[in-house]
Amino acid sequence: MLNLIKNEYIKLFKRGSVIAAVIVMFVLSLGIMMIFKAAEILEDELTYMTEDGEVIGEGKEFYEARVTVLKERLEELEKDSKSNTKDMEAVKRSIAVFEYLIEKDISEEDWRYSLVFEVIGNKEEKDEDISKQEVKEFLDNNDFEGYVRYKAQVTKDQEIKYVNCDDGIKNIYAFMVENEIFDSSDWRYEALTNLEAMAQNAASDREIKRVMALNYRILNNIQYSTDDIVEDIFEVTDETETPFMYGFGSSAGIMVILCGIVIIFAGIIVASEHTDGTIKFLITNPVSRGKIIVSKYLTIVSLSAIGMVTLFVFNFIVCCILFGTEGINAVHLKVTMDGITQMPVILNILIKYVLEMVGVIAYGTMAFAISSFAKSTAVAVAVGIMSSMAGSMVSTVLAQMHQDWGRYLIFSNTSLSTIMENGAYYPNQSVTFALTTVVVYVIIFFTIAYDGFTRKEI
Amino acid sequence: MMETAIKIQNLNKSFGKKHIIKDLSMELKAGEVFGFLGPNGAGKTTTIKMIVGMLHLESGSIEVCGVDVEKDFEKAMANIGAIVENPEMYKYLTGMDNLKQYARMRKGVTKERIDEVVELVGLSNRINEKVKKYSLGMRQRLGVAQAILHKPKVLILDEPSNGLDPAGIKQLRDILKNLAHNEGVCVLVSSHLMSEMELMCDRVGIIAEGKLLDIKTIDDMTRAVTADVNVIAYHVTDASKAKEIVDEYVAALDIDEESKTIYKFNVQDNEHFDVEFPVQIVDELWKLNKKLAMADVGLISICPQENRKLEDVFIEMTANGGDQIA
Repeated sequence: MLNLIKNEYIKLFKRGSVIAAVIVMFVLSLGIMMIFKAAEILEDELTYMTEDGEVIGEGKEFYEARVTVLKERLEELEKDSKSNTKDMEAVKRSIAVFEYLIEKDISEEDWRYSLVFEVIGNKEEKDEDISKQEVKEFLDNNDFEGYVRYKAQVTKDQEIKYVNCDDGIKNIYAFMVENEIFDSSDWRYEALTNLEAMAQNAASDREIKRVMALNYRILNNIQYSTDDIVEDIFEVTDETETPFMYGFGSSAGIMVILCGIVIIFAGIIVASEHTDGTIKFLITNPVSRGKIIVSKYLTIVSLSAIGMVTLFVFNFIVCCILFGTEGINAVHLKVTMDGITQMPVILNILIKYVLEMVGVIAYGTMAFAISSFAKSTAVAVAVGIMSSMAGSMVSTVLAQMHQDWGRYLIFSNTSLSTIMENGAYYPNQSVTFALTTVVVYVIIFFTIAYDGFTRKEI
Repeated sequence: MMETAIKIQNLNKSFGKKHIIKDLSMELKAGEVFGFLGPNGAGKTTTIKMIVGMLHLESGSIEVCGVDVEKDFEKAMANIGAIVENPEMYKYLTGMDNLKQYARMRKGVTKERIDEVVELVGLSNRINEKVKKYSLGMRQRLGVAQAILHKPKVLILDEPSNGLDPAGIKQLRDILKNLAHNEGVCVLVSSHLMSEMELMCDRVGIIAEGKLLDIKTIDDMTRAVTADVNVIAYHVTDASKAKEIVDEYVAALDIDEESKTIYKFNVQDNEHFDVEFPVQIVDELWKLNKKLAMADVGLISICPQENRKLEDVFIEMTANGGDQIA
């Protein structure tokens, strides 16, 4: 059997066209990594621009405008004998708030901003724990540390109630004191206040996961990007994403090129024997047809695996060169309802590659089945590539049209790494479901190929 | 008695509604070159394809060295070396790489054996070139090398002389005869050329329209053909004068009238003619010749003609004579 597989490898790799295809794969792969690199540089520039843009915005002029408007309102109220004092009080307090903001030069991003509204703008002492007077002092002195220590003191008996996250942060101010987060610009301050608000309301799985993820990020000081918040990314790394992690993480998509190559190989490996007439010499050997077709299939499967490992190593090296090795030892964490699982980032990317490889093998097997029927190599390759391309379109369209049976199509299940990241075509389409479906299809395709080859009259 | 190498019993095969092989049975012995002879479309290649496992048997059985090809294909094939139809090799590989492909699939083929076989078929100088640079004859030689690589007990060659030059054909003939007569290999060669078979084979099986018509040794066939020679070609000084004498002589013979109707005198020119005589008088032809000589007809040469060549026998046996492809 090993000899048969060796034969198949020799037959494939002594072909000029096959070697050309492999070279193209590496060149394309390198090209795509370069595009990632270019995109990364571009993205950095874009970020600076938006930051610049934000600096303009509101601030002092806005406050002054508000004060003017509020004062006009107050005058109107005073003229009107019907108006009650309650309203006038409220307007006066608002004016005080904005005048204070102007006086102390407090921007919207300042830690004091919302507190000013609370302390000066509120009539009643809603929060029984804090004394307005003391807080006002912290505000006047811009004493963030003092405020945090004070809050930790007064709220020490309060605990955040979590669902499904027992080891979460219990008290955000105590946490800040403990970890000496006394710089109001620390991203964790904002995140902690968000966490507190979110934890109280978390009900759905999605919200619970979000709280879990946020907790983990804060505990391990892994800053999120704005993208993460919008997309609810429940997978994090133990440090803020580096260019290496971004580049290498995205590189698993390059496996689509390998998919094309494997389809070509699968198309060649059976159909070319018929096209070249060599099949007659192949089967007049003391080797049963079953063994021949199995060894050919094993060649395709092993080539998919070898191709995957080669691409993984190749892309790893390219990424190290293009993006540097920062973040290479990072740990990847995945948030599920069962908790947070962790593994090295590199291993997580390898898993993505392996899952992509399963898809490659699935399409390879399909092309293999076509190959064992097709009369010509060109037809086998063309049909294989076209069906893999048309297939994902069919799945997308069916999913959009809410045709639920579409989930049983092979094309809906081949992008396993996307499915792992909650990017399935259909809701509740788990990796296990996809994997099972793919295995069933692979068995069917192989049976077709096996049966076709062993019965064929030559 | 030589042992049986290939035993075919009641073989049948149809493609769709067309019945190609009709109840074919034959036995081939070790140590003989067996010619499988028949016009195009007679079923030669179909039969061979069934022996080597390219086609499935519809009914009947084929045993190679006592092993049923359908029941134990691998064991049966271990005894067979074959070229079916054209010698199509992997064109992008060298001749040597091609042979190594087959060596890996068969047991006990050493590097030395490959070199030995390459030497035998006369490809030593070109074996490391890619097959796409080979001529048809060279590919045929490579095909033979491939077929005998593992020293099979049965060698099957479908139209092996295709594309070979006369020297190559002679060489192939010698290789096959040597394998059969000295090494006890059973060689099955198919062809539609009787003349080729005549030089190569010990026995010939004639097949037409899927039926095995006859199996004969080449010796038997030659004897059958030469036994009833009764046409004599004459080269004389005066053909017209000779005609008068011969007519007179035959008319005066003491034989039955029916036999006399066989007599034909064909004049070709002033000096050449041939005569078809009733068989019974051929032995006494000296009497006629004496008469001619006495009548001053100069006898330059007298030559018996084989009225039926092996080719004619073959065409006659295969009935339709190949007018239409069966």
